[in-house]
Amino acid sequence: MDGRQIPPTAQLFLGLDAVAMDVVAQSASLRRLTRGEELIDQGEEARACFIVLEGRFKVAQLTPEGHQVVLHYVGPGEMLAVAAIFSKTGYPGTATAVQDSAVLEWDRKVMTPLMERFPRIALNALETIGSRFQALQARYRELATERVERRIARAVLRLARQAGKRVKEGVLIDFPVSRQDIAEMTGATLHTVSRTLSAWESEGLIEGGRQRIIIRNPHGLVQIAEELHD
Amino acid sequence: MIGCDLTVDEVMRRWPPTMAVFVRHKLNCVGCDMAPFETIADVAKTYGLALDALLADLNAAAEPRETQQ
Repeated sequence: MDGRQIPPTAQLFLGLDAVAMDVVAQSASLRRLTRGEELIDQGEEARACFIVLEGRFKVAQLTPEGHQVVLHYVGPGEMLAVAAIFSKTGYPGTATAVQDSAVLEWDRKVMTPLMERFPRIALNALETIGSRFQALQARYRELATERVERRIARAVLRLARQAGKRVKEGVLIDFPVSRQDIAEMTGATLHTVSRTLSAWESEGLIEGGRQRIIIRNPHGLVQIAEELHD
Repeated sequence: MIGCDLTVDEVMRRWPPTMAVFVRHKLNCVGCDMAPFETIADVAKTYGLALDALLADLNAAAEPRETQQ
C-alpha cells in the first residue's frame, strides 16, 4: 500500500467498504508530476484514469486553429479521465499540472472490472460526470446569453469555490491562474479579461498579481456574476 | 451557539433552519459560492445589518426550544 493510500475524500470511491478500498488501492499506481508537466494528451488513446491526490490539473482542449479552451480544473479527491476510458475517441483534452501534483492511476483494463465488481464506483463516476455535465451546460448558457463581464465574474467565483482560501485580505485563489487562463475559461479575449480585471482592481473588488488573484470584495463580485442589485 | 466568526456555509450546514433567516432578511447567502469564505460578521457589514440582531435571529432559528424557555 506504500504511497497508494486512497484519500477518504475521493469521490469515485465514496461508500466503498474497507475490503473494496483495499482491492482498489492494490491495483493503482502512483505518479508524481511537476508543475507544467502533462498527465494526458488530447486525442491520445484513453488507456488510464486517475484521481488527484495532491496539486491541481488544468484540463483544456486545443482547436485546430490553435485556440485553447479550458474545460475545468481538477483538484484533490477529484477524478480525471474516467469518462474518457469509455469513449472510442481518446482523451478529450490535455491535462497539465498547474502545481506539483500526485495522482493515482488505474489502467482501463483494470478499472472496468473494478466497476463490475463494485458497482458503487460506476455510480459515483456517473454522479461526478452528471455534475460536470451540468456545469458545462451552465457555461454554455452563459456563453450564449451573458455579458462578458458577468462570465468573467462567474469564472473567478468558480475558481474560488474550488480552490479558495480565506486570507486576511479576502479570498485567495490558491493556485497559479493567469489572465490567459481566465480568457480560455470564458471565451473572452485576453484583452477583455485584462481590461475587466484591471477595472475590478481599481474598484477594490479584487487584487491581482502575476498568476495570483485575491477576491477582496466577494459580495461585489457575486453581485456582478448574479446581476444582483441591493 | 452561532457566533460572528462562523462562516455562512458552516452555519447553514450545521443549522439548516437558519436558511430561512437569510432569505427573510433578503440576503443572497443561500447557494452563494462565497458562503464558505464569508463570516456572519462579513454578512452584517456587507448588507449594513446590526450584527447582534442578525446573530439573535440566527440563534433563535437554530435553537428554537432554548429561546422559548
